Amino acid sequence: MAAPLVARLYEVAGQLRQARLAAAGGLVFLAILATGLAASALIPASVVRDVKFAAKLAPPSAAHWFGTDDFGRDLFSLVLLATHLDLRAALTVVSAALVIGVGLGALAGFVKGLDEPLMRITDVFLSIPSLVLAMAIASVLGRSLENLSLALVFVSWPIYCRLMRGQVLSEKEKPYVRALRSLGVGRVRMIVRHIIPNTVFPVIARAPADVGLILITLAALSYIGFGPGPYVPEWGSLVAAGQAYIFQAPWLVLFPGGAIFLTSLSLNLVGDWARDVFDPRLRS
Amino acid sequence: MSGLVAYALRRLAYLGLVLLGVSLIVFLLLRGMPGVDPLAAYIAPGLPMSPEALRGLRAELHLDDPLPVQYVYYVRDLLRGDWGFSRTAAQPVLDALLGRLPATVELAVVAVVLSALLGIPAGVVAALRKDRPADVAVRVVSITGISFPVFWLGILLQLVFFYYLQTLGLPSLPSRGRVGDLVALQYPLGPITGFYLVDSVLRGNAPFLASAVSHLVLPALTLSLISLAAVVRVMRASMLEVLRQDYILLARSKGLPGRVVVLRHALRNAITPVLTTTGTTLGILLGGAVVVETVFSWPGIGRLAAQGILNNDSVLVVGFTLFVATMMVFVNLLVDVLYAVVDPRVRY
Repeated sequence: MAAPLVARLYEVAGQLRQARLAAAGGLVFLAILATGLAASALIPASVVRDVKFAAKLAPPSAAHWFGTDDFGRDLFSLVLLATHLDLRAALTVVSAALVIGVGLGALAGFVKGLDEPLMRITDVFLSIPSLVLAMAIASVLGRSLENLSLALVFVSWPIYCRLMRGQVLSEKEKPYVRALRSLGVGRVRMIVRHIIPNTVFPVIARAPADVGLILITLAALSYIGFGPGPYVPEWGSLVAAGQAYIFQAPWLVLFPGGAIFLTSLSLNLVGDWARDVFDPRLRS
Repeated sequence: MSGLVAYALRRLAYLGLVLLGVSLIVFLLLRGMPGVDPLAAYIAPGLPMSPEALRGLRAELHLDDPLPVQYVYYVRDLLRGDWGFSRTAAQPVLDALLGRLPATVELAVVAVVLSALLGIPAGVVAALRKDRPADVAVRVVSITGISFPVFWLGILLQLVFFYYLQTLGLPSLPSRGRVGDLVALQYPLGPITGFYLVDSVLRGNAPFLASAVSHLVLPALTLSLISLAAVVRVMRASMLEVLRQDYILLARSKGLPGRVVVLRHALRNAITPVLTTTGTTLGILLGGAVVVETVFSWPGIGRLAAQGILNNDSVLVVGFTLFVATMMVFVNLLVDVLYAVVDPRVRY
């Protein structure tokens, strides 16, 4: 099924030129991603422990572009280090949820006996606001960034499962599937090699916007108290720590919050376009 | 109407099953997680319990029974209103949540109203001016809105409308709590419903009302941003759909003024999808309330849950999740039934 995939990519590349905003969003995101990767390689981790109370709450200057925090640490370095951590977490969460959701959704659409139970399970999950459910899970597992990510995977897969199942249900009635089946193609091979590649794009189209959403949710949960503590730079907890000094040193909130905003905006620009391109229901 | 009642009952039965599912998830979280001691949630950090107390707690929670049996006890306790005891609130979980519910509902309702007041006209204008500057502007604002971390927005609003205005000697908006401390002392309000706006009107307490309204502005505005983008998007799509219908063409060709066609013919039909998303919207808002209440020290259920997180009080946090899920289920039921009443084409 490689040929339709390549044709699809050409088509996508053509549309990308038209969608300048999305392209700009994509470029900004890639720049942020590159910055995050470079930062973790270039900035020594010891910056985090470089506490100098004499230099605390200094405003932005040539030496400290984003100023210094309440520990006298260079905020620019902290925000850049956090970029790596937040992006890695958000990308991991969405990839994991996508794999689980697409896999289970394809199964639900293809295996009759699994459809009903899986859909009822997703009903239950989708009846609870994801942020609220993630809170409960992360709270029971114990406060840490790993557990928070795990909780977010746990609440994010059902929507992909639903979408994928709908896709598969309509796809499996198509003549080529019957033809392949009569040729003796097995279930697993049929799902993995034929059905999933032909149906997965509208599901994946959600991913960029979802990475943005997970990024914000992760930062929000970290802000309300699931954060990793002062010695692990993370955007949400940087904002939480800076809030105490908001009137004295607003930059402590402005820069990490602005980083979340810019990243999520870039992802939403890409996501908006991706949805228009891949979701046939929205195409007019 | 009897069809409607049957429909509502069928929905209710289904929702009962959903709630049972939610309770199962919550139960498994509390008791069935590998490597998590179910008793840990009950022990305050740094305050170890005596062995006798621990044994008593184990017996009370039926922890020595098999999980399915424990679940039956758990559901029975839930139904009796025994949701466990919260160390954070120093109160039973259900009492703690119910006591703080009016503050959250007041905030969420005002936020929903605000997002409807801002979002519906914006969506209509965007649809009428499709692909023209007004539409592009609305879409840019809405995409910016969903990209904004809501806690960041809340803090920025505090900075501008509380701190900077005050520094400039201008009238400013309060940034913390539900009502001014001095006002609450000078003009005490005997609670009736727990909703400050309603109670202060009922009691004719004008200073209290003024203070409560001014305290609501920033948190409600912040919270409404969460649902605003969704309202705009749904309204725009639905309006575009309706404007393509034949009856709109007919209305226009009859020579009706554009305003009448848009308001009386198109908007009325286009607005129902916005109504149906209200349930989902409210869920998102209740999630957002945890964050917004924390930013603005708003004494509702969300801030309590956030305090529970800091205290490792899982009994409370999990109870909060169950509580919100229950609210969502009933709001969705209400929306479904309202929808069937409003739109006669809905079959039930």
